[in-house]
Amino acid sequence: MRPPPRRPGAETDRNIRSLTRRAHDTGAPYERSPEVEAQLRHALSLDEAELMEALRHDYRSDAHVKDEALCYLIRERLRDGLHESACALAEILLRRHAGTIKRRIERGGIDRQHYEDCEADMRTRLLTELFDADSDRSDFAQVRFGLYFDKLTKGVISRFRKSLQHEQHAASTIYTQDDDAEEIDLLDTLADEHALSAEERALMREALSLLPKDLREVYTLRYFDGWQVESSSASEPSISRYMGVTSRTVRNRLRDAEAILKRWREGK
Amino acid sequence: MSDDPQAETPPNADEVIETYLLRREEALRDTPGDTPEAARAARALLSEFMRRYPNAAAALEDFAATESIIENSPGAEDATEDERRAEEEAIVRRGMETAARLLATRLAPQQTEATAPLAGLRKEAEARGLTVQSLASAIRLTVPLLVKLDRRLIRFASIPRQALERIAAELGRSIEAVAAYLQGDPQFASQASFRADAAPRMPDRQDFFEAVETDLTMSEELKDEWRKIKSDG
Repeated sequence: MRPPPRRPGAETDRNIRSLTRRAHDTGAPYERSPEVEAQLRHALSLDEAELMEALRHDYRSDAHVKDEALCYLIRERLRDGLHESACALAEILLRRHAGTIKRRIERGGIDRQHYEDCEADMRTRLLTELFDADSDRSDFAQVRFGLYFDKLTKGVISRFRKSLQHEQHAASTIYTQDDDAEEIDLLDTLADEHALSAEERALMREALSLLPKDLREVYTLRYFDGWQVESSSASEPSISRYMGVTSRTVRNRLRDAEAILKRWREGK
Repeated sequence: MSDDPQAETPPNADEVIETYLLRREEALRDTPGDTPEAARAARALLSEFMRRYPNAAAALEDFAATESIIENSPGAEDATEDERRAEEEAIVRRGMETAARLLATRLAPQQTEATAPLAGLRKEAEARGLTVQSLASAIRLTVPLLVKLDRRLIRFASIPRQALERIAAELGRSIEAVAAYLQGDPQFASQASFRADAAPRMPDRQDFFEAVETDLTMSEELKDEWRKIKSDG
């Protein structure tokens, strides 16, 4: 869906272009928060030098210009043919989030070999959507930038993880070898009320770094998020389906994780 | 029924995840962050969305699992503050290169000579707003094989014409320009670093169809397509 054509002089009389995208479940049009609208009205009254000065305030300051407003300003400058200014604002946006991009790729378990491809995918998607001033693909970024950025970055990592998972499964049958190990039937009966309490969660976070990646991922999905080991229902999230391994493998990983964490508790 | 075409079109996975994130934010607004109650509410909403949007159920499950894994994984601790800053600066620099390429494509599409030299398959794709994954998918290859082509690690003579045609079509370039790029010198991986005394040696270039056969990420269905092209050729 394309936004309505730009009204001549819209910026000079401080009108802010409406969003055209809608939430799919309610059909309600997306709306910026009043705070973002107020920031935009102020930003549009500034000249370039004043705006750049205003953008120097970091997020702890009351004068901080929110990412949602920044996204709008980038797109309006592109529409106005102010490409250099649009790039300067895009650089500020990237600088704000470069650290998060890096941390998320690392924490998402993407290895160094695929790090740059994953990062390239994120920044290409982000900039392509923002710079596509003829579509409303990035309207969500002006509504909740944090959620938009979550969707974009975690979505890319999710796709890379699936691709790597496929590669690993094709290359190895390790995950079926430990199927002969003892099964923990008890786990089948654990309902989500047995998930970690608030206190246990805080305590266990410290110990998660002790677990190898495979065990940690299974453990957090099971005990922090309360996912079932397996489920025959396509609408119930299940660890074995997500990991692409058998339920017995999941249980064995949980058992191994528990053994490590038990030693940690005893040593504390 | 609404007159709005957007409302009548079934939402794709990206749109479903967008809505899911909004609703989750609303649902958890009054629930303390890291508690079993919040986890339970989030899981219930995830199930509801997986049930309501079966076409996006797998994407939702993948997304939610990835979120949890990112949030619960320890970060890399081996980097110094200077290294961390340098890496972030590199992300910004590469981002600005991407921005410049996107703008150049927007500004002067008519000036781009179809036969002008290619900067690289991935760079050209980026300039057109294509990700590595989407380019690989469009030309019926995988990301690892596309990366090999991009680094010119595949023997040019073994690359079938269909592959050249698909790449050229996706990048909006001539087959000659694509062919000229793929015949250039092989490149090391951009993140490779070498500490050996001897200069690094580039591996021998691989046959295209051998690369297809040994590609662990390529489905059998896709391999069959390339096998047929080979036998027809």
